[in-house]
Amino acid sequence: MPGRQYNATYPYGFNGQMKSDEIAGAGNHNTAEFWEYDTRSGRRWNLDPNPAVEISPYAAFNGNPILFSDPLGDTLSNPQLVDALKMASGEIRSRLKNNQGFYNDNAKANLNRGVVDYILKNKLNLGDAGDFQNAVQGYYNGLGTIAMMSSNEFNNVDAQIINNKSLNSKNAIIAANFYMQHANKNLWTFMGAASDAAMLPATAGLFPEVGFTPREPMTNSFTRRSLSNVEANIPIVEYNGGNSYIYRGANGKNPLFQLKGGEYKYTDQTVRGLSVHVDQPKLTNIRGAAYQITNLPKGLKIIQQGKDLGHFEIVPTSKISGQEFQSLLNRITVKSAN
Amino acid sequence: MEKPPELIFKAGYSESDDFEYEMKGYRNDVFVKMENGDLYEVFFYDPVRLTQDMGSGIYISQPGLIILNSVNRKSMEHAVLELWERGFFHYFKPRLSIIDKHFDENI
Repeated sequence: MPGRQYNATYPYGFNGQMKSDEIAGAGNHNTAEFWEYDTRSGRRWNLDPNPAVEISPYAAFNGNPILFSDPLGDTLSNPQLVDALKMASGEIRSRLKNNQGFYNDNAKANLNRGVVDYILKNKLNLGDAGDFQNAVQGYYNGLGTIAMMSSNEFNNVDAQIINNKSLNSKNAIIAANFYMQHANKNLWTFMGAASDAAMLPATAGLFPEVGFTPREPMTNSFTRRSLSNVEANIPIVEYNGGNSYIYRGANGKNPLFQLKGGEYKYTDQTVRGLSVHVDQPKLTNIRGAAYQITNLPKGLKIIQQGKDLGHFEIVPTSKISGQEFQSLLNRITVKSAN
Repeated sequence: MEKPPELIFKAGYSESDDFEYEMKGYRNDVFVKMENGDLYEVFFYDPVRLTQDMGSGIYISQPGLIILNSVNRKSMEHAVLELWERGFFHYFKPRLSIIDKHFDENI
């Protein structure tokens, strides 16, 4: 009959799912125990039997059939995501416990080492290696942001979600979406030329059959964005049992870090410097604008001063002249927090 | 009747200053100007900052030192008025000018 087709060859399609060619034509429809889905639009007919808040109940593979598999239609599978989440969380947990700071060279070295070891141990191909690296990056930034704002909040997330035995890929994806939203505000990368250079030959060596020759760093859009917005050593301070970013209020009239007469003093006994505060909304409300300090030149430090525990002062690490102090202050970098 | 003194802020004054100096816990750019033009330098501290600045030192001293619960304009004016009424400033030598090389020694 016109339009009828018969294909006696292999009956399985993507992810080992049964092809249902009779529904919408050859290759256009797959079926498994928990779903029927249209391979052209990537949308399922039925509602997801195991839905997640942040994922459409009609979505297949979380909209990403390359990163995830879902043979039965009920559970996304990507154990690497869970491992990436646990690796990032473990590093944050350790650094929090030992008060080592989150965004520094030591953190970079640990994360680099962990990622490279994981890639080698699990023999990831180039694409998966890049995905894993990016996932650790995203999780670390997101979790690090949470930990800086509140160590209690991080500990809750760490204990109740990340180290919960029921954590599966779907939960990890939900967490990923959440954490990466946080991470967008805090683009810090542990990946640099050194890590890429270390990973590419290592990964290439695992797959000599594909004839891969490292030519350029592995970067996808997220990584590239991170690399172009490196904010290493973002100053944080301890506040209210956790860590916090630090801000400088501005009224738009005076230079942001201009010392006023008599504001700086450095003696064996007394150190006074330039005021900064953890409460960005309050600064904005009173001063009109607030700027987050994103980098503090060597030679400066931040210390708590005054009865307001959220108030800190930027002071030199050793006694220097007012001109030298002002010169260092002029090198502080900020970004608008409003 | 003698006119009460007024406060002169060397770095100027704006409403948001109260927020900043209350946080800092000190203000050291203030002069008291008498009706006859005499200027007296004062230094306001709150107890917390005074303790922090004293650190492990044996003493802390500052000409015209006045301790306030909170370093804001209202408290400064209140304290200066009461001290003036009690003749506090008769014990000090007036300054000729607010220009003071020591004030800017670190700048």
